[in-house]
Amino acid sequence: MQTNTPPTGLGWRHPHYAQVLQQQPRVGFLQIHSENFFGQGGAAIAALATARAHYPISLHGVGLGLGSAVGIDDWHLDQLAQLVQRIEPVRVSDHACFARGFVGANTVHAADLLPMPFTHAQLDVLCANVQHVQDRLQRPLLLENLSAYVHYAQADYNETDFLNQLTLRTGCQLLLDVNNIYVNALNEQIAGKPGHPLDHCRHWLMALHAHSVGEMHVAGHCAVDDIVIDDHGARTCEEVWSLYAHAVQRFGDPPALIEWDTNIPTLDVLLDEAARADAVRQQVRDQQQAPFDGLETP
Amino acid sequence: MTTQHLLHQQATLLSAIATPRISDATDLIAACAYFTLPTGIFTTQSMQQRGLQAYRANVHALAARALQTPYPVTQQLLGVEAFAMLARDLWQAHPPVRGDLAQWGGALANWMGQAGDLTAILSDYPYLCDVARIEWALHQCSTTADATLDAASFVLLTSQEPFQVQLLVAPGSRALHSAWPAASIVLAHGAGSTEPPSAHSLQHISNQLRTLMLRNRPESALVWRPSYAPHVRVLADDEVGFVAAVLAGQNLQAALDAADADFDFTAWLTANVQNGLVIGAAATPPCVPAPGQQPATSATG
Repeated sequence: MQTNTPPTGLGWRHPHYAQVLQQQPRVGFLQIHSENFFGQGGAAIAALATARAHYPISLHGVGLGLGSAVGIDDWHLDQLAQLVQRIEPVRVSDHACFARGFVGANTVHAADLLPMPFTHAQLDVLCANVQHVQDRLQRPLLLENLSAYVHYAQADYNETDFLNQLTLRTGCQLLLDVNNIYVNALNEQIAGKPGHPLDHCRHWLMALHAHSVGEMHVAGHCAVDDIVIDDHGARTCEEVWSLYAHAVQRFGDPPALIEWDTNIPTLDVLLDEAARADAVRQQVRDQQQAPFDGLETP
Repeated sequence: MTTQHLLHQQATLLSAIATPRISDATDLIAACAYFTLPTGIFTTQSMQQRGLQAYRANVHALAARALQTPYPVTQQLLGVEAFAMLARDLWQAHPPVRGDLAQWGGALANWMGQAGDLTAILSDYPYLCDVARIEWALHQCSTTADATLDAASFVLLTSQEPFQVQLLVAPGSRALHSAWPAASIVLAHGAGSTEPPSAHSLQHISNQLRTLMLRNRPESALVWRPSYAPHVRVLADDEVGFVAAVLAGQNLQAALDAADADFDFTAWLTANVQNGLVIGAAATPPCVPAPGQQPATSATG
């Protein structure tokens, strides 16, 4: 368990650009979506430069499509490399997904985080792309686990083994989105999987290598008819807070983030969520420092 | 499974998300062994279809949201619902190729001009394509490199002959010509304007549009970014030729030759340094002979 870890960070989105710069709330870091700051200049980059003077910045991409069998878009990587050089972020992350591929004769981008099959061929492609990006940026990446809404018939690994292999082969770390694990478990429950979703999530967490997680996300989700969607549009639910506490025990309290991307509330609400995350982290630290606390050691 | 299989697998899912009809999408998935789950796995075929619908619904919502950022005036002209349908159709015809959605949508103006089923809309809004072109230029201009004024460089305007010097403009500056008062329509809606938003009430816009259509005439628009907000203004008749030459990187003499006879260069320069369009002057590069041509000195020597 690390000590003196920084306070929980905030996903810094457009409605709060000015307010955060004016009020400078005490948060551990600001996370931005890298693609929103591509380009050579302009208002967004100027605001980011100001923010960088006050906060560490975590660059979180949504568009590299690292699992894409057609490879990485050189233009995208050029833009990201330029942003990394400009901002000197504390972390650079994207998702364990694919996004680019052929539709007919053209290469298109899905503008979404599409799930990958957990196969040998997919792992080879993902590792090669991650290594390519890491070589260019000269730093390790973090990859976020996905909430997936379609599934593949073939698999050579389960998801956690696949992610463990990814970190072993490339030296990247995982950005563990606790909410995504729970969303997947809820959808499996809807599909008829027996057992309690939280139990499945805890097993999932225990199957990951203990030192593989470099950042954690908590967020909200929503149920739409008969499917649960990871929309980052609500407060974190109690089950995810419980799971987050478990993950803090397991992974040694890496930097944490409140992620809220749709129906963005007032800054006060975000800061309240961040305070809740800090309280959970403190509680786990206190329990781990107490003798005979009965908690398992990571 | 090989990389070739993986390519096909990924292409199948991308096509299923992109194809217009949900029945075609589910057929694509159902016909592909990669997605056909064996019995006993905890995701059913109906869940697969529901999941596929979730991705498709996301695309539809994303298309409208992504397109309204660069095209706020086009959206106001068409209305939110019609614009959302337009965005969805554009996504089908010209899907994103970059992972940065701000790069998507540049095909809108030309696509609207060519798509047969938009004839009725374009007869109501004949200036719509040109409004969209100006909006896209504003959008592109918003992330170009920041301009830096090089005041000292203006000494070149007095120390050099006009054919030896050219004016430098803020990065991303563009001129666009329209057979309609497209720039005035954009400005009437408050986009690219230096006026406060309160000046653009619906009544004000309505009155302005009525006046503009009555006064219907061609316009040339200038798009540039003096600081962080991109602007558009209507070019006066006497500066159109001059500005086009300057933007094309021609030397000052050539630009003055292209200007209207009444053009007042000194007044223009003062105003356009102040408004952030002109950021400096530079010596024109020496003429480079085309491949195969002898330099002029050799030809005469």
